[in-house]
Amino acid sequence: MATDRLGDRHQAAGPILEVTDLRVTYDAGATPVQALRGVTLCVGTGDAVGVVGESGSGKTTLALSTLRLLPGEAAISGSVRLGGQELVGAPAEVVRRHRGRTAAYVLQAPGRGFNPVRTIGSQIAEPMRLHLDVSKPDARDRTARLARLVELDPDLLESYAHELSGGERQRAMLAMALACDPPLLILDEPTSGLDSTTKAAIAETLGRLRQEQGLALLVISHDFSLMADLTDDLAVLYGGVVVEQGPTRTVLTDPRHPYSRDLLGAYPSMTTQKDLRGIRGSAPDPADPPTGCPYHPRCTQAIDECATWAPELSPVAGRRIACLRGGVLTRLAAKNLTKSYRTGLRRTVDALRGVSLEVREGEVVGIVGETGSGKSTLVRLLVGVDEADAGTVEWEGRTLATFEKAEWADFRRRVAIVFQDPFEAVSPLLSVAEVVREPLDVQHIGSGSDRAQQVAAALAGVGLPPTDAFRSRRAHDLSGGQLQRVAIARALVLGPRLLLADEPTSMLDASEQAKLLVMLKDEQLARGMAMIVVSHDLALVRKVADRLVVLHAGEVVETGPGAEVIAAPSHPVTRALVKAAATLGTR
Amino acid sequence: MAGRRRRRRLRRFAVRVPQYVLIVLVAATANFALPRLMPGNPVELLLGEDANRLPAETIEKELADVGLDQPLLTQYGRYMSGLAQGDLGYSFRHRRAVSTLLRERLPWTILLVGTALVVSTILGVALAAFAVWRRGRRRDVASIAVFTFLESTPPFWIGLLLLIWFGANLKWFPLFGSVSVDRTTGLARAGDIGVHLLLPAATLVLASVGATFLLARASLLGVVSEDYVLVARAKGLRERTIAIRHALPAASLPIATSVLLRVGSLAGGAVIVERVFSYRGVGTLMLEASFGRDYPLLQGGLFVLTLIVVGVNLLGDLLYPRLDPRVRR
Amino acid sequence: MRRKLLALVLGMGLVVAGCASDDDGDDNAQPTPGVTTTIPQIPTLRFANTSAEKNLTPWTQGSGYPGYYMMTLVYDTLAWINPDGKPEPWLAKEYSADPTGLRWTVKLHEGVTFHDGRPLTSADVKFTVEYLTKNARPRWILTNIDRVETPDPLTAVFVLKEPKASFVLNPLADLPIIPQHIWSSIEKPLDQTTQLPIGSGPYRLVEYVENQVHRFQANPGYFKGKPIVDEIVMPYIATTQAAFTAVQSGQADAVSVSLTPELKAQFNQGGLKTAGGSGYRGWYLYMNNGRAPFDKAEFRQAMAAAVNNDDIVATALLGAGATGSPGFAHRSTPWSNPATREGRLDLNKARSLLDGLGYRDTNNDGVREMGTTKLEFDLVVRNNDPVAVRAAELISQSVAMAGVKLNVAALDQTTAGARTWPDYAIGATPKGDYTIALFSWAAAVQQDPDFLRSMFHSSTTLGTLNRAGYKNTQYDDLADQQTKAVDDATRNRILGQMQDILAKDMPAYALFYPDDIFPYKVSAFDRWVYYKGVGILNKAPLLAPK
Repeated sequence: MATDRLGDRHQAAGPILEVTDLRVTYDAGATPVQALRGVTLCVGTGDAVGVVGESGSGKTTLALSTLRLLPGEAAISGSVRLGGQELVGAPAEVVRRHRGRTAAYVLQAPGRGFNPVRTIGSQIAEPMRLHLDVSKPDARDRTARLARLVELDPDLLESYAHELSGGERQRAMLAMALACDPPLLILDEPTSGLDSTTKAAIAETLGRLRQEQGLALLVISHDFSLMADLTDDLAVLYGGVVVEQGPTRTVLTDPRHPYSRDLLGAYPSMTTQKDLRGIRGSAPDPADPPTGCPYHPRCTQAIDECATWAPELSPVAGRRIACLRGGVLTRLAAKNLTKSYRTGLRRTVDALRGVSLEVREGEVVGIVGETGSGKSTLVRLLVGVDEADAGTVEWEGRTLATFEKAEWADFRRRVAIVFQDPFEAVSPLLSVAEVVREPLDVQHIGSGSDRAQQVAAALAGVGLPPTDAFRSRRAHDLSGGQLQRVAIARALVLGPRLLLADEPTSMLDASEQAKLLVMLKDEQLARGMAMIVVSHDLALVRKVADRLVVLHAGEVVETGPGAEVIAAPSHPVTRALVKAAATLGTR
Repeated sequence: MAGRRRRRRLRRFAVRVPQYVLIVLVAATANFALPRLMPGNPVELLLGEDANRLPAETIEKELADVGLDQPLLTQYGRYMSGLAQGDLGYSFRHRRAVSTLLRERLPWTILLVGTALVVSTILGVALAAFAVWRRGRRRDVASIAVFTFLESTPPFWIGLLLLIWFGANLKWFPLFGSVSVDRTTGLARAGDIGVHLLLPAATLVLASVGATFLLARASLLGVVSEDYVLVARAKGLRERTIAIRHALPAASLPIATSVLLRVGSLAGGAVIVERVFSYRGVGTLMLEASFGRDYPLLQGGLFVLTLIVVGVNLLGDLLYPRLDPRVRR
Repeated sequence: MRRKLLALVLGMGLVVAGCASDDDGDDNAQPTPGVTTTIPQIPTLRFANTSAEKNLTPWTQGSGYPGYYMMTLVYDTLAWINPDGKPEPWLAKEYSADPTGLRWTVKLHEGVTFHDGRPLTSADVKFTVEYLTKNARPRWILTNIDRVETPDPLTAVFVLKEPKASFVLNPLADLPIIPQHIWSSIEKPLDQTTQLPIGSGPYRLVEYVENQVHRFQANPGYFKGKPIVDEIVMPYIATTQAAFTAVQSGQADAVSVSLTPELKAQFNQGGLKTAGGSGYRGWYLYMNNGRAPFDKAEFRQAMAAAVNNDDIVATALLGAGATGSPGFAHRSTPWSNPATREGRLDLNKARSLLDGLGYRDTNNDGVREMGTTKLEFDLVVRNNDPVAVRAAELISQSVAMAGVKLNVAALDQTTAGARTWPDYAIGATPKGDYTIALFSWAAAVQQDPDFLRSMFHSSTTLGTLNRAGYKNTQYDDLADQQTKAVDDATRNRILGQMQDILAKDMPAYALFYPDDIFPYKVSAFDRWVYYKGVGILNKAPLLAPK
């Protein structure tokens, strides 16, 4: 493909942008605000690097730092090398000559990036006249060519910003950034505020420009889909530090830092079918950042050390993450489980045939299969009620089979089960309070009053009235829905890290089902625990599950992110399930 | 496209014309009524101090001569029909056509106010730009204090201090008058006018530059935090270029609005300054007219001032779309 | 407040400006006529003028001082008042009345010409009288003149309807003689605002620009000889402060307005000097004699007794002034009645008079009342004179001690004037809208005793200045008698009786007269003389002494 390059470009031998241990502190108010706390980043010639993060993560500061556009009260240290030139500490005039020339900045909210009282064209031409020593008519020609390049109607160059649509303004902004043919574009939220069609078109243009012009891109955004479209590498910024960095595809499909994972969970996309999930807690206050790992106050798997040790970026699974725990923990792992039952003298049924499964911290795994697919067997093996013929089940890296007594006790406390039929699981003679308290009694946890308190909390958590009258009711007086909630409360009262719910709603009518699921999901999110939902009902499971495992005849026939499995089922069984779920969905 | 814009602008203008006509009519009526609502009457002005010593018929004859014996409605009718014919009436005090008097005096006031307006605007905006680009530093804080003080200082005070210091003590400038009483011609006369203009204009500038400075500073501060200033900087523009080519044009609408609005207050200040420096402008004329209840001069003078203010607003209506294309809708 | 600030600022300026103090010459150095025979000609004199004067004709001239004295640089009168207030012949070589006092024969100087070269004759005198009778001005009410006979070009005989004791003072020493050949064709003299006047005086007005300048040039053919000063420029300076500063900084050689007393010392150094004395322009406490409770003489007496005019002179004028008299006439006029000169604070008298009238402070709020009538009134004063406002405050304070509450109502000049004057526009019926007011009269009021008639005569045609609404037939009779009393002794006796009545009835109370202090630059012109009660601008000192 022939590249329609606008002019000769100074090609730097090394990376076009090298940011090393960049620290930026705003010293404006009473307390200095640490916006960046040691960021290292590299953009090679022609590379496209994304920086993703929430607002307040420091990503805009990072963008501005690359051209040293920070306000006067910002103190900057570390190194920013742009086109080989160190900008930190360089004279203002040197920095100024690189702006727009070596790297151009494309601002978010393009409506405000143009001076409202000057024509778009004059503003696009301005940097050319400044950097390139171009005559006025030449600048006009070049501006028109730039407009065509970014697919902007050149007639609009005589217009003012307010006369243009958002997409047109962004294209004009791009044209302005490209005016001096810089090797690097810094795009700060280049598509925010645009409707999705325009967003896609702009992303497409950017992609094309990158191809044609050999541009390097530094894309700053919170938009994962834009990152997926535009960038090769991705850095996740949180609290002024990079917590995960790696190939974009790797990071987006299999985030390993708890924050990246949670952030992706909160991101609405066509590939997530389940409900949006916010991250618990709130972003750190940059004036008073947490010690240790910046994410530890919100992290569900944080241990004490996370609050004291600041983790370094280190390689994990094809990317680098900064996490003391090596990234998102695997709570429960089943490896190659095989189990057969003897049904007659000669006949054995292979209930499971080499099933492997992983449940990570905070993850909801849905196990879907028809009756007889081996679901129940798998559940029994996973919770250690039964032993596999072959293969192992590991809890946080240790094989259940080797557990000592104390380890079993710990395991029982950390893994809770909710069964299909609460009437089976709960002794009908006990009162509600007794049912819920029983695990505490068994485990000898806390004093009497502590237990009562925990019971009350657990009941409130599952949406049951924590009144004495209710607590003293007998289990057999309750409705199916109420009883299942009691069962869940009983499961949660120990504060488990994994909740295994086996057909938790199958006994309930549609409305109870929905309410119970919402409640279960809320509890999971609030507690940050992992969850396994076992069901035959794909329609139901996909609403809560991050990942689906489809079982058929004792084998895993399909596994993957819920949305992908449902959108493109590869196995006939899955397809059948999806089809069945679809008809159910229209009920 | 340009043609469409021009047509739109014309239409906007056409819509406003009846509004202006109405304003002028209301103002003309108020100008008639207000002087007559003030207690006292112009008899002493017409006939001299202690006019009561004159025979009653002399007084009555004089009142009849100037039409004050007529019912108010008749007087109003005459006044309005006079205005319609471009006749502003005949001053009681000066016994000359009001239009002649204004033609003599108005140029001086326009010179004074115009000079002050131009200088204070340029000075205020330039200093504001300077201060904004040095925001947060001690000099900026100091300049705000100085200009806030200046803005709250009455012009007569400033005038008097300038008069005593530069006029009396240093003897650099004349203490009174809009020209020297010694007759001069040509270049010497122009110099003479300039020398006489300097202190009064400086007074008005000092009295009004604070307002311009503070407003321009606020407008510019609003502008420099705008994204397009960041973008301009990111393009590699020099700070001065950003200030002149981006910030100032963007802030020019509020500045121009305030400048045009300030024509009124400057004219008010001019009344005082003209008095302090015995400047022969329309302010002194109107002040004397109001002391003596010179109805025709008050009516006519205020009417012309109304026209000027309306004209300035009209000018603004024409100017704003040029300053800010967003106003063109 | 503003005035005070101005004074303060001015004071600052003066302190800075007045460092050099070389007092050159003593205060009493007066020009000594006869000693110098060759007085050097002075090319230009700048006389700062704070009064917005118009064209200088009898119909367009404005103020009494300096306006009238500017006009009389251009026009001459038959007689002229000397610095002591006595009339002396001027255009007239001599004048005398016949024994009836009804015929005044005036002999004109020979060879007097107007500025255009035409001779001034008795015909012009006759024309002036007739023209001014037809086109009357408040200053010259000539209704008493029956006719003027002109037996020859240099003799004019005024035939009066009634004898008039003040005939020499006014009209002879006051009425400017205008040229018949110019004015006979002028229909509306009030409209003569741009045509520069032609008179017979020592100066021609050669330039007049409204609110800017009056420029006079010496009349070389003046019948009393060419004036010493070739050119007098009178620039208009709108504020007195700027005018004083102009004198101080050398941009003006003299000024038309009197200094405030605290500045006197600063204008008697560095080549400057002041001339002045007790002015005749005074402040009077007017009471509306037609309005209760001021309709009772005892009440007005009580008010007068409760005013401390000594304190006003001491406090508001810093001692630079004279107290007024219960008899109304200025204490230094020849007709002043010694018995009615002194008005002193007498609170006991005031209290007993008020007690006697039945006003008592029954509710102990410090203000007397009787029935529903409470003694609380507005004291109207104009707000453009700080001395007057200060005086009004002092009055309010001292009468409060007698149990009368006066609220100072400082109004702008025209409003205050309208409140204390009859409202002309509605008709000739006097209709004062005030109860008590502090008001000033120009110096002229004390220059001619005939004003005592205009001031208090109950007839609307004779008592044209009777703002008080005073009515006393005995006083009216005496006032009519003094007008006709040609014999000075008789007249002064009658005037004395009138003052006795005024002191008793107290229709208005003359409070105080600020001293006049006029600064001038000695090196520019040192012959200025203070004309008693009036000022320094006068044509006589500008002429070489005979």
